[in-house]
Amino acid sequence: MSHWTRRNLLRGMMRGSAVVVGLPLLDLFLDGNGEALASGAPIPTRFGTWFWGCGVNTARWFPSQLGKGYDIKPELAPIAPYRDKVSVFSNFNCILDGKPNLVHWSGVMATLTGAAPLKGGVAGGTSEQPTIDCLVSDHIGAGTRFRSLELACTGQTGVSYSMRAGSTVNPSEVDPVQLYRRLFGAEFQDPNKAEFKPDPAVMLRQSVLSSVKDDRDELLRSLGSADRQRVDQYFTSVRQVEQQLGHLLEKPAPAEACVVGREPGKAELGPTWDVAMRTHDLLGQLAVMALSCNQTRVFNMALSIAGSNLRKAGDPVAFHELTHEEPIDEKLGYQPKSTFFIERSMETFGSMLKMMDGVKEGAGTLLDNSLILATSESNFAKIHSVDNLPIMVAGSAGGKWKAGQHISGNGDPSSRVGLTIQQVLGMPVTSWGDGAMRTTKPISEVMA
Amino acid sequence: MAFGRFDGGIGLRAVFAAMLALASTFAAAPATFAYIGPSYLRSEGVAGDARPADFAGWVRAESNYWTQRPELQEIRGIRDNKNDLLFTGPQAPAQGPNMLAISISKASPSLEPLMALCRSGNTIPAMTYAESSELARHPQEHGPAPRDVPAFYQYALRQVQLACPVVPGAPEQAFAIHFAAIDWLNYRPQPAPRPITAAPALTWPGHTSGARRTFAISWFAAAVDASLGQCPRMNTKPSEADYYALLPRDAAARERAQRGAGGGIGPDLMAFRGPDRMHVTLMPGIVSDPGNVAPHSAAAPGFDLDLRDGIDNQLFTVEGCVEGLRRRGFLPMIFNEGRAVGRPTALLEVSGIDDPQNDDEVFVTFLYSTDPLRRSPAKTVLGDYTFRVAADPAFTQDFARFRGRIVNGVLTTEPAEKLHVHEVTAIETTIWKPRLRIQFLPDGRMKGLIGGYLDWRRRFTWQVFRASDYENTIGMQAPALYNALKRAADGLADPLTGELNGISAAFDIEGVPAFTPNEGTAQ
Amino acid sequence: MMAKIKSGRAFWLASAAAGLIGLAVIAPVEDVTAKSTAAPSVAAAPPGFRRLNEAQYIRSVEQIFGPAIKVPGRFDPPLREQGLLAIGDATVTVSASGIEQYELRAREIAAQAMAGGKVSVPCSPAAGAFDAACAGQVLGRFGRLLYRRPLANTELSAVVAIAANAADVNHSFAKGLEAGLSRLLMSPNFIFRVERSVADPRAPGGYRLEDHALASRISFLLWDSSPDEAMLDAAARGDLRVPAKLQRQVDRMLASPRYEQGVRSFFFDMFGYEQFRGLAKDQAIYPKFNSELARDAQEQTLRTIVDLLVTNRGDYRDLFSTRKTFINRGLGALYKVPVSAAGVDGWAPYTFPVDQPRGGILSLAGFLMLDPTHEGRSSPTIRGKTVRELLLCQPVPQPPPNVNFALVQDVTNPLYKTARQRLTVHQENPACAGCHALTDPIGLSLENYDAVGNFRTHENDAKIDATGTFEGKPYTGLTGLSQRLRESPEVPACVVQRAFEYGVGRPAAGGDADWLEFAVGQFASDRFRFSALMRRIATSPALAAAAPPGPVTTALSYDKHRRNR
Repeated sequence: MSHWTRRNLLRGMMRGSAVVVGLPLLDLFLDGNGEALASGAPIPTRFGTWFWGCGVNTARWFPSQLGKGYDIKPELAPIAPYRDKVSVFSNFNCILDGKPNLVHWSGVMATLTGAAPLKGGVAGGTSEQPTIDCLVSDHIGAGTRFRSLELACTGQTGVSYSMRAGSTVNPSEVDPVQLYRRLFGAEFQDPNKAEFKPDPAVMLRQSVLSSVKDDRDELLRSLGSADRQRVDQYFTSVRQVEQQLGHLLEKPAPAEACVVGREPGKAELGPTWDVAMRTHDLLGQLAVMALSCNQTRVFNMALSIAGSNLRKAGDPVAFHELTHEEPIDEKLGYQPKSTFFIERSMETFGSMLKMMDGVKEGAGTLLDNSLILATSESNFAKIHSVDNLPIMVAGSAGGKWKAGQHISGNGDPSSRVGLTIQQVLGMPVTSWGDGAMRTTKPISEVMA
Repeated sequence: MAFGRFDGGIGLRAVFAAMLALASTFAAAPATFAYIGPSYLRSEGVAGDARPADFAGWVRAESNYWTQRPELQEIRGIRDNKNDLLFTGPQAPAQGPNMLAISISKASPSLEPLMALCRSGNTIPAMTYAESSELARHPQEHGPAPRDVPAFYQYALRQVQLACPVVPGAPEQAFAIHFAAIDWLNYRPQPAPRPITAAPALTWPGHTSGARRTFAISWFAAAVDASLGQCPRMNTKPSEADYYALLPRDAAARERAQRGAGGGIGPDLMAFRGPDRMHVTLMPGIVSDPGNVAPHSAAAPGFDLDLRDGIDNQLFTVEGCVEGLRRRGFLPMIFNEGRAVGRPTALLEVSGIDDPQNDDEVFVTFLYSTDPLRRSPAKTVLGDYTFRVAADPAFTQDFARFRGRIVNGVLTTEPAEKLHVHEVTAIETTIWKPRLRIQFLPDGRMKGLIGGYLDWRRRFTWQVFRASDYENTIGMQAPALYNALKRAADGLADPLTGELNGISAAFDIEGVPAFTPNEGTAQ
Repeated sequence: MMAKIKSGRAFWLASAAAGLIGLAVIAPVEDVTAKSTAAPSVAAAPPGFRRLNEAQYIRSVEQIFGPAIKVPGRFDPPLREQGLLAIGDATVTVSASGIEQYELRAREIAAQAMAGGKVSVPCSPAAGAFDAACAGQVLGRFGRLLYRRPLANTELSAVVAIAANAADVNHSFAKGLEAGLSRLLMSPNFIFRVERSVADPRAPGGYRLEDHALASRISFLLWDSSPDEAMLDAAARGDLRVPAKLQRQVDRMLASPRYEQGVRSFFFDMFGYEQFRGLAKDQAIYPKFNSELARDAQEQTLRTIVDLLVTNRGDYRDLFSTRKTFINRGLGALYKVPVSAAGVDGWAPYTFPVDQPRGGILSLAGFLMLDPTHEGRSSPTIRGKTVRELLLCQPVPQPPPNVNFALVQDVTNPLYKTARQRLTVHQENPACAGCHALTDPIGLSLENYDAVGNFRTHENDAKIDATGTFEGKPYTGLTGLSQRLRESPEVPACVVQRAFEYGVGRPAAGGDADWLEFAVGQFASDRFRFSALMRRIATSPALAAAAPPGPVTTALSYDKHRRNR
């Protein structure tokens, strides 16, 4: 084996913040085909969700041609460089079948949980089922320090589309500085450090958490049935953190792509569009680092809440209100101020793709080894339409997903996308969803 | 009268940094003082034409400074709150050997005898010198002097040797008075400023019926803003050529060679461009008048102060084409930026309003508060805040009240005795015989003009009391400004000599609505 | 699920209240016991499992370990359910990232507590030795304060075992105690208010809350904090089951300066003040707005409430008309009124003069500003919804399932000038009018106040029309609305309902209706004195009522995990 040295960090300026670009997994660590680690373990598949609020303009977003090499309409322009790695889905619907159309809620919950929810609205709501990222992280997340990362770009921790059944979302990280400290602060074990000694303090902490579980039985005896689920959830979370600590006690596998950069400087947080986009890039960069350093396999990014409060400083109304109040320009055929935010949203998704595609892994990139489910809660926000939901899946799960196609659902429930994702990831599900959203039919065109 | 806005001026932060750097460099050094204004010299055998009884027959000097290389004075109030109640004593040296520089008008009958005395080369056993205790104070002070301070400090200068370099075109003649010893005749050296007290100028609130409106002053600056086209060209700072002009040729050549490629003359050196390296900012009459560019304008903002036809704002003719004094020039910007930082906020209260359109008696009271102005994120001054009226005698001594009337919505006042305006750093403005004209704007703000006379010698000193670097930053030459101010002086005639010590001026003010605490009592 | 008392009864109540007020004038205000005729019972609800919110957590830690403790970490955002954060606390779950934060806090607080000398250790074992009895004493004492009840023997020995292990690993008794404290702080028995029900000795077959659980409910209701030692002792002695002794404890708490915090916390919840955190308005449009002004707005209303309801024992309904409030420099500039000298430097009492368009808490920025969804303008719909849901306990329904939103959006009309014009469309469309008729008329009558509370007569050059009707009665502007609210029986009924729900930690159910009606009647006879209401709830059997816990039958996912790993 040839002698290798650590390469220098590549530093780039991304919208004004110094950011460290991760290095590829050194081919040295891979087997002859560049598809697996030298140890024989395959390059792990990652999963993420990416959410933007208030939909699209139908005629300016959805491609006209089906299949590979689909045409790029104006609002999809930012993903054009990655077209062959992005699958676009049209005519997949949130099928309500008598359930209410909960504004800015039903559409996203349908795609992410496979079920139309019963309670909720523009400020959030309840879910009958866990979101797909929870199911995936239950399947592939146990082996990493964090089961998943939730991130939001407008400074509000309550903005999250990751939740178990109920009304409590998994809160999001909103501050790049805090996220950096959580990921790469005192507890971070550099996978490339030669020396490793399990920290006795961590073992003590683990024993404390383990002991906490002794309180469970007595609690279950004294509480009502609804509360027992909540007690249960508490101890499930305790176990997860116990396992997280357990990872700190094991020597991590080396990961050449993992290089830890500087803590980002304190930056403004808020819903003005330029601040939100800058925050996205900082959080996204850290998420990419976390994926490259094998700290997690699953992440969720929310550009804003579904009733989007993205705004321009000085304007009295934000994106969501504009979608309802702004008249459609006769000559243009769309609402110019609202469309500004649609275009910024797609531009930001393009930025996410760029960050993930920029990390080389084996024969491909981090993006190639991932699946990112990107969606919004409505098609045309002005009228809260939940048919023909805009859905994309980026990446190819290490070759198991045939990327770069535009596929029409012909009115089928959008849960088909989630079912397909779970099957491609190797999860033992043959059906997914509830009521009219229940499906057994994966999208075979994308399955390799 | 339209006034254009000229977007000139140097970056504020750079200037502040420079001022701070200079302040700290020289803070430890003894401040050497000087003033523009009459001082008196008695020398045996030299008859003078000084008018004041105490100094009848003495020689009158137009300006003076102590020591060979006078240094920059401190600007008070840059780093911490300025204490307004101080009295700075004379900065004449406590003992010799040392030097006093004075300038004598070439029209003075004493000129020839003094020149003869100087050329003789004799050592004069003694001369007596008197300088005004008021004019010799730090220019940023104005409270009443302690009772034991004489009107003029007097010194006996012993074993005097004179030097008198000649500059043919200059209006004044410089004399360097080198003395071996000095006796303080009527005061003792006072190394540190003395704290003083002051009495409030008026009682507030006054007792009048009618409504009351209060404003916080958000802008105050001399109304000298000429539009671009009005200035044939702008006044300039002194150049390198000016520095070398009065040096003997060989000395100039040597110095040029020494400098080499090292760069230009810094402002601290530039001041010493008089004959014999005498200080030209402190004694501006000793070199030729470079001439002042005046605006080509028949119109100016202001008042008819002397009740003859026409607007009296001679300050405009002098400062109208000096870049640093225009609205976006250096000094007004710094003053107004710094308003929110620890310096008093000026308040203007109009009381006794029975009819906001026409009222034949209202009162305007000028007050101060130590509560700061508040600004929006876009830096505009916000209105409707409450300001507590200051009780500190440093500020209550400067409250002023005017009687006025409102005609068709415009308020004009009668003149008052004086108005002292506190500014942030480096310039205090006392306006004599001030009067105001105020307009209430529909959005609740106020715009107005204050007119009156400034003591032109003080005005000049405020522009240069740091002795040199203002020429560079404001964009003017001290001798030009001095001569122009003197020529344009049109008021405040000296009762004894008839000389005009005042120059008419007008100041723009703007205000936002404000409140004083609602104590529930007087209006 | 009952959201409010049925309107028929409300009418009856109004006249009953009027009659009782007449009586109350003669009778002494505080003599509550004389009027306690047998109160109806409430729905028997299972004992609760309510998470401490951020303020309660910090306050408990400071109360137990001293005020010098700095509590680190991020708390989950609060969740409002059915009108109260207190109910949200009873439904919220904790994620793994939440546990991470609790674990961080537990370690840090334990370390600070040991270092700060607040933990007195009545023994000094030799190095390397572990004094189990001593550790039991210390950890038992703090365990009781943290769990708000004494620890069972098995619980205590588990904690002591942790301490022993840690002491051994670190060769330090103090480090052992620190680990024991962190174990206590990580227990759901601390992080949640765990309630238990026990058989009620006075009602065979019936159940009630166990004494310590009741002590917690009373303490969080009146002080918004964990019960102090005196209260825990009283619970242990069984005093809370003896009416006279229970009232003594309650009166002690009502007389304490800490009661003010309890009132603040209650109204913080009822009036939705968690929305102040991170509240943003566009500073280009509202240049006086900044986060300091938002904090001032919240503080102003809370001070007004405390002053009226606690300090002056006033009539709750006067909150909607009182001109007496407090003010500081920033608020004076917002309202465009002069502030006294004391107010320039801090807070000062202030009464709006009669010629100012201000009176009652709806006219203060604390209500007018509180809309986190619109940064650049006021929203009549949100304001109307706030009045309905937070002041009148009338939830505004979700949009109906069959709404075709395409019909509502008339794409040819330009933007209207006033909010009233913009919202007319909603009221004319039958699918939308149902909800918007509830909210918009109220909000539109408040349009004279912009999104930060400035008063204005015009919007975009068009004069604002501030007329409205409420419960069939017409009125104009905010003063008119405040007057209508003051007269409405829904207003006191709502605060009674909320106070009850806040105390018991669940939404009011059908089985509570009788008791609530009774309590509303008593509130009226007490001349709507808020402290009387708190006293009534705190001493009422309704607060102590509980259903028995059900049997454990379902296999839970945790068990599944346990078996599979």
